[in-house]
Amino acid sequence: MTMSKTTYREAIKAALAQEMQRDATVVQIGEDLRGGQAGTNPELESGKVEAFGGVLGVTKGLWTEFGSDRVIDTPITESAIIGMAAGAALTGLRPVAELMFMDFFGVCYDALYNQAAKFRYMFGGKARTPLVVRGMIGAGFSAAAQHSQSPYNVFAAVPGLKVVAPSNAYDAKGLLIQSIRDDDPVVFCEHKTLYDVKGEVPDDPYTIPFGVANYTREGTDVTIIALSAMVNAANTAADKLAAEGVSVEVVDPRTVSPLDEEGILESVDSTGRVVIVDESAARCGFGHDVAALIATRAFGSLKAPIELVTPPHTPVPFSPVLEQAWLPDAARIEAAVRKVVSA
Amino acid sequence: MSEIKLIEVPKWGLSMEEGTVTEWLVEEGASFSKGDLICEIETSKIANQLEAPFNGVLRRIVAKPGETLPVGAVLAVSAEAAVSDAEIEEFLAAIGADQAPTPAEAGGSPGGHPAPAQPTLESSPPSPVAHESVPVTETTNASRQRPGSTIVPEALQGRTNGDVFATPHARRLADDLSIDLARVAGTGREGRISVADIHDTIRAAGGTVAPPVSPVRSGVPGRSFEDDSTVPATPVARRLAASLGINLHDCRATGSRGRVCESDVREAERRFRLQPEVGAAPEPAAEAEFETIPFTTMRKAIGQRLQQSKRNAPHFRLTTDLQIDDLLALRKEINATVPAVKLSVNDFIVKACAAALQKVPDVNIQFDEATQSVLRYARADISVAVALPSGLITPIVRNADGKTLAEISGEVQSLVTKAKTGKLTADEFQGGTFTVSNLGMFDVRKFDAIINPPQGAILAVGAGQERPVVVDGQVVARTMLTVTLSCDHRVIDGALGAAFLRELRRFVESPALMLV
Amino acid sequence: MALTKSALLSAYRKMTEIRAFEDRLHEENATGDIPGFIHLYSGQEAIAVGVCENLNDTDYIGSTHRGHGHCIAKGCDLNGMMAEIFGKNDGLCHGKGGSMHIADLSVGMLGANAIVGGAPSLAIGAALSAKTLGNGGVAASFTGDGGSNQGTVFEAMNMAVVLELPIVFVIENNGFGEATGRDYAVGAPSIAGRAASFGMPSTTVDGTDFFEVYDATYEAVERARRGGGPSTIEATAHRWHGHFEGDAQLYRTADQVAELRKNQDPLMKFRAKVIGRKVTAKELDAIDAEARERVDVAVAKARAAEYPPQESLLSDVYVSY
Repeated sequence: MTMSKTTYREAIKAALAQEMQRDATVVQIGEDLRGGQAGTNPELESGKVEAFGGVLGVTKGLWTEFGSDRVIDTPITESAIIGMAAGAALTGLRPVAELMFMDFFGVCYDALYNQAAKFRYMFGGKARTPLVVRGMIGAGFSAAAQHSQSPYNVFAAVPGLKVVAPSNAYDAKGLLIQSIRDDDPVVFCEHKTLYDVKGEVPDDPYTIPFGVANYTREGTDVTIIALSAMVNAANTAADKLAAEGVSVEVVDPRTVSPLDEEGILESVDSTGRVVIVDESAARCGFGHDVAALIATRAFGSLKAPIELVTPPHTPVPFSPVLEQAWLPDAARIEAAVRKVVSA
Repeated sequence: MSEIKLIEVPKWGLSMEEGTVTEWLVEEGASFSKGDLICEIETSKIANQLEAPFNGVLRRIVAKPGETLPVGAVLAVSAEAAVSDAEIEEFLAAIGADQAPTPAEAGGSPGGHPAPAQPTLESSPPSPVAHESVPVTETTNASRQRPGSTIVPEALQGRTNGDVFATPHARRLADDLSIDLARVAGTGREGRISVADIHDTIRAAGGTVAPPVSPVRSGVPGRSFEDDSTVPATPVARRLAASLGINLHDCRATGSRGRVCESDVREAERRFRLQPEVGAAPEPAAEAEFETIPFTTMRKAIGQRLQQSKRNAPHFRLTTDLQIDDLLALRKEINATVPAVKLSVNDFIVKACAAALQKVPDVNIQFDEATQSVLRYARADISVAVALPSGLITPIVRNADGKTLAEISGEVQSLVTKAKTGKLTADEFQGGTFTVSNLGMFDVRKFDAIINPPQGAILAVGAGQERPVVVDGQVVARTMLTVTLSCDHRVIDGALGAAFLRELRRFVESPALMLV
Repeated sequence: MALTKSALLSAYRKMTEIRAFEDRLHEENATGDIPGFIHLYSGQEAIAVGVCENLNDTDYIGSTHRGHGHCIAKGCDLNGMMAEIFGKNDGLCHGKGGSMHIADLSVGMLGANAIVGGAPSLAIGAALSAKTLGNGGVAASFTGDGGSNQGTVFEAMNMAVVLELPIVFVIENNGFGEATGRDYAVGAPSIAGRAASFGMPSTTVDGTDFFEVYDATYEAVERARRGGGPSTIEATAHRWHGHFEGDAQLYRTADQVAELRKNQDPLMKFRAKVIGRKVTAKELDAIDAEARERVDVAVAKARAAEYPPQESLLSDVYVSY
């Protein structure tokens, strides 16, 4: 199959467009997916100028291709957006709802948490909710406390939801197509700092199964488990350490739920030393979940205590110097690896 | 495979490098309890009996009598009955249990033991297990599956062609073992093949899988040899480390500005003290007439305290014999009927002392040298002397008078374990009002001990022995035990000491008194 | 609107079934054999039936925690409902949902909803599906006077207007939101008025009068099916029981409740309007008796039925596993 160098953003858009072409029940719902509804720029109305397609331009051009019936701009009412998407999913559509910043889940969480996640179970297996909620996560752009969080740990704790957090363009396209085709509600987390990162991506549609981790580096001495934007930092640290003779294996779970427990445990069984780097939380985060998994199921293989690299227990600060200190980076990962190797 | 455990040559004393098994005291197939004597080992300095470190069943004796083996080498294998002999064989093969015995022993070739079922590609020459510490990379390679001891049936052999959905480790394993993954059933997501799937398929096809080797978890890192002059450290720490022969790379760095500080060096020293000093350049033992063994800090400390005690406290001793038939009978009954309780004679002695101290509280004291005053305590905090390879330490059972025999027993065991692993906290061994020192397990009939300052007395307990005694004019056999009470004459007079011994006798010879 | 005789009898049958079902549950609950909470609909039958008689199986409704009436009006099986309320495997949700989550998508019932204000956004989702798939379906959502204050309701209403969705919002003013009266909790004089200010047609009707409800709904549904967008109907009918079974109802007197039962009974009002015109009292009595019998059977079956098996605990969290 032919591949092209594609950005994370374009890979996501390609997934959306290709699925909408393939299946007429796939619709998009969200704020400014097109942008410019009831605008006053005649060039926008005449189509001479393409509407901006979302705050970070992910959906640009989709309205032009599919029209208002399939790409539905909404008022700023997250509750109604997600609730409507959940109801539509129950009754015959396959909606992809955009929750612009995942931080906003606070104003619409009921629709996801108490409704969409639980329909199938509460109704005795007699319902399916093929809903995708996609949105941005992550710090690094000085977007400040309310626009920089990564709450995938919160979603993963909810039985009935599936949670995806790709780290690169190839994974993003394959996993988004998989999410749309999946019959369960999926929360798809796009890290805002990755949108411009390019990778080799197949032109045709393809899927990547949930619950299968990707090893970005294979090694024998230490395992680093990293997710989303942290994978790049882990790779950087791994490459630097490789030059010093420390052989590092980097495991990118790609999906928080379902989690590839086997892929993680096999790596830990092999190396015996683990560093987990995770941006989600300093407490009750995804990293802590993985650490508990390893401690209970791979204790016998551990040669050193598990190292967790997370942000501190604070909101994300605004000033760039503080935000950089807040975010785990390659240097902190490297230090954790050294600690675990010499323990 | 946690049911298989190894019994290894212990390290008795800093200088012990190897030991010779002279006699097995437990037969193959017999079960034993923790603390039971399982074999006799002779070293260049002593002959001693090895106490079982856990409960188990002796499944395979590896070291034959007369065989000399290095410290840490495998003496025997213990496993539950459910574990098959074949699994034990595999296990031994996997750990390379062919150890080179010194000359004059069973067959010059390594491994007078059943060889693994197929010729092995041992990645390194036969080496003693577990305690060897090696640099990181070697250990990690060794901890991966040793291909040689896994037996892959022919039906599975081949090369994996084309795209098979498998985890990266499964792929690697298949390469190592020359397995065609198309013949392996995958049970993971979307039929993915995992390492566990490969193992299951091998077993299902009639092959065997080598059990994994648990990583060394002695808590002691290997000792470093790199130049540590660039390791940030406080000057005091650096000097101390140099004098103790500790590499700064082996120390944690908890001092200011990320430096190794004195307590970090002490911590490292404590850790190393309790483990074989592997990797350090061995003394050229054979040629020299003597070797110089420097005093460790612990040795120095023990020396100083006891010297001070002997010098300051005018010691006198009172000896008496105690009849312990009733005590032994009670002990037997309790151990047989109360679940999870295994009382030792010493547990009874500790309890009896605590009870006696309640009756004679003037012996339950500390002497404060500084103020030259006596501190009389209401509760009896009994120190129990524990012999470590590195020296003597006395962890304390606090408020022993208020504890049951079972509680005392459990606490003593836990304190001894902590002592042996260097985990006692200061308040667990500093203080106390009375000490019991028991050499009965070495068959010492009688001895006297030096008082443990700031206490006022110490009881030295000998071995229980069947002796002829006269009862109502007849000579009969009774189990007797000789105890010697050493007292500080500044604070305890003969009569007082004797009164204590009289109370002690009451409790020991009528042990039921200790139960109420 | 002139209804045929069979339509009248069908409507009465549904209403009296609701009455029999809820009355019986009130008794059964006192035995302690019903797990969890139940919320009874007695006194409001005309609203559920008046609305749902205008809908068919492919139209969807969203409901509340007080959903038994909506379920029956929409055509859910009585036996399945009763078994579900008793937590049995034969229940409509195999015992996994209970009273507050009874659902049957095959007859267009999106489920009772334990989150106050949770239904309207789901219902507009159903309306969106109907519009997008072009199948002519409409949706209706029921919300109480208490629920009408939830932000989610306002958002759903606005969204429905903006996207021109085929939905009818039915506000059931039953006098109290839990223990707080409507007059305290709702700031505006009229809930329908609030809805109107969102930009959709709104009316207020007497919720104890089946015919008023039916007619208003007829108009709203026709409008929706024609592509005319959403409407709101505010119907007032006080509930006869407490907020939940076990509610001491200190916020009103027993006399006031007795007065409701005497003078605000939707079934009585219906009878008064139809007897002697197309229908006889005897025919209606016979329907009452049949309804009680069907409920008896439902209770007997529910009590005799098996509880869900242990495996059921872990099943149906996801479709794929």
